[in-house]
Amino acid sequence: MASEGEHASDDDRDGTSDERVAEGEYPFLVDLLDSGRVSVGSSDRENHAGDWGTPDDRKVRPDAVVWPESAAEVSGVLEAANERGIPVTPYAAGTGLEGNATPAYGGISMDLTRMDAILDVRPDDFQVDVEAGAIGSTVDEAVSSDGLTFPPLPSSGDISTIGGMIATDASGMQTVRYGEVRDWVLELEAVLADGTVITAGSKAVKTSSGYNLKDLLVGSEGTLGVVTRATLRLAGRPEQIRGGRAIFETLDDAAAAVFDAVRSGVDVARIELLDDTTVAMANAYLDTGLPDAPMVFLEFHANHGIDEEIDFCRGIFEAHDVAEFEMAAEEAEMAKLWQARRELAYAVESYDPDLVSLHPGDVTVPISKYPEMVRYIKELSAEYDLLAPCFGHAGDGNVHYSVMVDPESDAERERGEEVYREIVERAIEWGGTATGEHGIGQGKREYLEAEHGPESVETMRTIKRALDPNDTLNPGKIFPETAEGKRVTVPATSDD
Amino acid sequence: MKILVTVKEVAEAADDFELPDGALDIDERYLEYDLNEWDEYGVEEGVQIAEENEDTEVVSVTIGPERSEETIRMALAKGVDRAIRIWDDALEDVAFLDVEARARILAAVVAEEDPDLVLTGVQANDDGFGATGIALADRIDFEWAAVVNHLDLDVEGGLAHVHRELEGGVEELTDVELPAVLSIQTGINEPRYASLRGIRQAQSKEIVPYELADLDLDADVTDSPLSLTSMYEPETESSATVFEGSPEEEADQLGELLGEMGVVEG
Ligand SMILES: Cc1cc2nc3c(=O)[nH]c(=O)nc-3n(C[C@H](O)[C@H](O)[C@H](O)COP(=O)(O)OP(=O)(O)OC[C@H]3O[C@@H](n4cnc5c(N)ncnc54)[C@H](O)[C@@H]3O)c2cc1C
Repeated sequence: MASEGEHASDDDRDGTSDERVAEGEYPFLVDLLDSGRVSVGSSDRENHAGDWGTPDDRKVRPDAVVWPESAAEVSGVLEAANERGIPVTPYAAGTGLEGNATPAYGGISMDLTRMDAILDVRPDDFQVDVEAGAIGSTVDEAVSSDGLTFPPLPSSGDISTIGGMIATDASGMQTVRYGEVRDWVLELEAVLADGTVITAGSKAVKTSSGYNLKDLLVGSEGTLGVVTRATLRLAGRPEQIRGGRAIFETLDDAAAAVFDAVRSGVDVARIELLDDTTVAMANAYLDTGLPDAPMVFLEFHANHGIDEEIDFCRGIFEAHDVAEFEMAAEEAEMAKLWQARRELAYAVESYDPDLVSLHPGDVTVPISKYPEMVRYIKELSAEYDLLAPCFGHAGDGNVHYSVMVDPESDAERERGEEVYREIVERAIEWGGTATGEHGIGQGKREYLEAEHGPESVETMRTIKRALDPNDTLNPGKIFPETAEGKRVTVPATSDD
Repeated sequence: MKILVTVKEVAEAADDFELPDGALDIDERYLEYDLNEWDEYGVEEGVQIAEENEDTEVVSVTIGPERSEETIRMALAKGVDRAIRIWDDALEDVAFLDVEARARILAAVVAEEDPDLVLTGVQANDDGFGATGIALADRIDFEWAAVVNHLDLDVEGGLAHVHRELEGGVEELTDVELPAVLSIQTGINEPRYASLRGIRQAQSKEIVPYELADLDLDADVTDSPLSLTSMYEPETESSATVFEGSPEEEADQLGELLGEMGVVEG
């Protein structure tokens, strides 16, 4: 558990000094890492107590923070911690939205951000090798002079790491055309709970060799292994990039237009929807002077014939009564048209100081259900009289929504939770998922069984216990029982 | 219409470079080469004008050794139609090519190409004279505007409506008659990334090598009243104040220091 009853006077001393660490709970760390790369200081621990999505009352300070700089060091710390029954939670940029990197059971927070080297760019093979702590946009920048790009970056690509993206199987605005992070990972180096270093996958673009451990690690949220290095696949930068914005009178029209464009095979690289509530928030935040109407943001990538593709899309949008369809001639103008989408996270956050957004919703449904999903959320929002802005990677059938509540009012919180739950349950009922890209973390554990069935979840537990019998790696995540304080090491009985 | 964009390969020294006493230049092995940052914006502006106006040719020109072709190809990959590279044994021997010499050489290229518009960077991030564009305009007797951060070209009317960035955040709006030289400021546009195909296609675009004689210039074009006398690394000074005590005490000390330095009042 997280340490309590700390002496205030300890806070006044350098938490990274060898003496301080040696006096702490895990003196063995002094021998494993150079001075300065282990800390028991309160501010380092506070900085690793939660991620972007962790409310203050759910934060847990780790007992120590370590900054390894190689797979060997990661291995050394894991081996020692595993032998001693100390939890280790990988921590990267901390932009996760589901408490994924929160050290729920205290122990060691393993910060990977010092392992951020771009190791080898191989433009001829469309590949780059990077350390896990490299920031997404840095990788993209490093390959740009070869005309290459890493296309599945999340919207948070310039503030989050490749390791974090792999661990959550992140995806982004361009996923509609290029797929998710998983699709762009060829090979991984990872360290298992007992310190064993493995490589998974291959540098070949296809392989039928053995169990696919690479895809098991992708999306495992740091519960099966710590990723230390990745070989990523790259795409050629397209010759033509055009972006624009469409404004609709009704949300139904906007959602139907997105669905129609996708099912008709319009080759969009990005297609993002904002409902009128979200647009109103963005307009207020940015002072845009735009109408508070539903909007769809588009981008097209092609090596030839982009105008035909845009005309095709325009035709489809017109069939859904688009009020305005504006394509930018150049990049700067495109950036301007897209501004409302880009600044969104901050706009929602700062909309009304008296309201907080409950959990960030991330349901994803088959595209044919997308319009109904959006409508359902708006109906619930009206029925429960709560503000629920909806936006997201519409082309993937992915709806992000926030249920906004007054944090002081328990009744309102409860109503908000109810809305949130009904939305997730409906998405699962329609063949979708509770989370398209953020992961289960702590926030969505209760939906795991509903989505996969008890047998599948038990299979997941079997894998977890086989690879990490002591529940060393990131305990308290993904599995439903941990929400009630149990550990996955304890076999669940059938009447649980 | 024809647009000539001057580009320059610039060197950046690695963090750990060494400069022996008496050396007039940093050794090759510490240098990394790249396109001058300002020229990236000049290239983008030229290419955008060509995209918006039919029958517009964008030609880049550089003074540099064969090595610089790799850098110049980036401009071709981004949409420049063809390139000219001037080099000569006489240039190889010159330790220091001054603004006037550059302007004379570029003027000879202008005479050859007869462009309607010349775009240069405001300055180069290696020697930073910030004068080549204007010296060239003077020599070829073109109209000119320096530090342009917005350009609206009226091709029919032969007029460039430009915004110029002046000191203290003031902007000047000027109309410049073509033919003209404009020195382009960073931020005027968002330089694109080269596409994969663009890079491949640039391999087969033409980079015409010129020697001074091809431009009817003699070796004395490089003569300069300026000479490089020495190069050294200036001493840098930095001071650090280490606060000690509890966080509250440290915060008090920091507040006091900021007050003393006039950063905050009180
Ligand atoms: C404004 C904003 C916009 C966002 N937009 C998107 C979006 O468009 N798409 C999307 O998918 N997500 C999005 N996110 C969520 C978040 O950015 C992603 O989940 C991201 O991949 C997390 O990366 P990180 O480096 O911050 O990891 P962290 O938050 O530090 O960690 C995330 C998880 O990965 C584990 N982990 C980290 N590094 C490793 C490693 N090397 N090995 C093993 N496990 C590891 C941690 O234990 C944790 O479980 C957004 C977040 C914000 C704040």
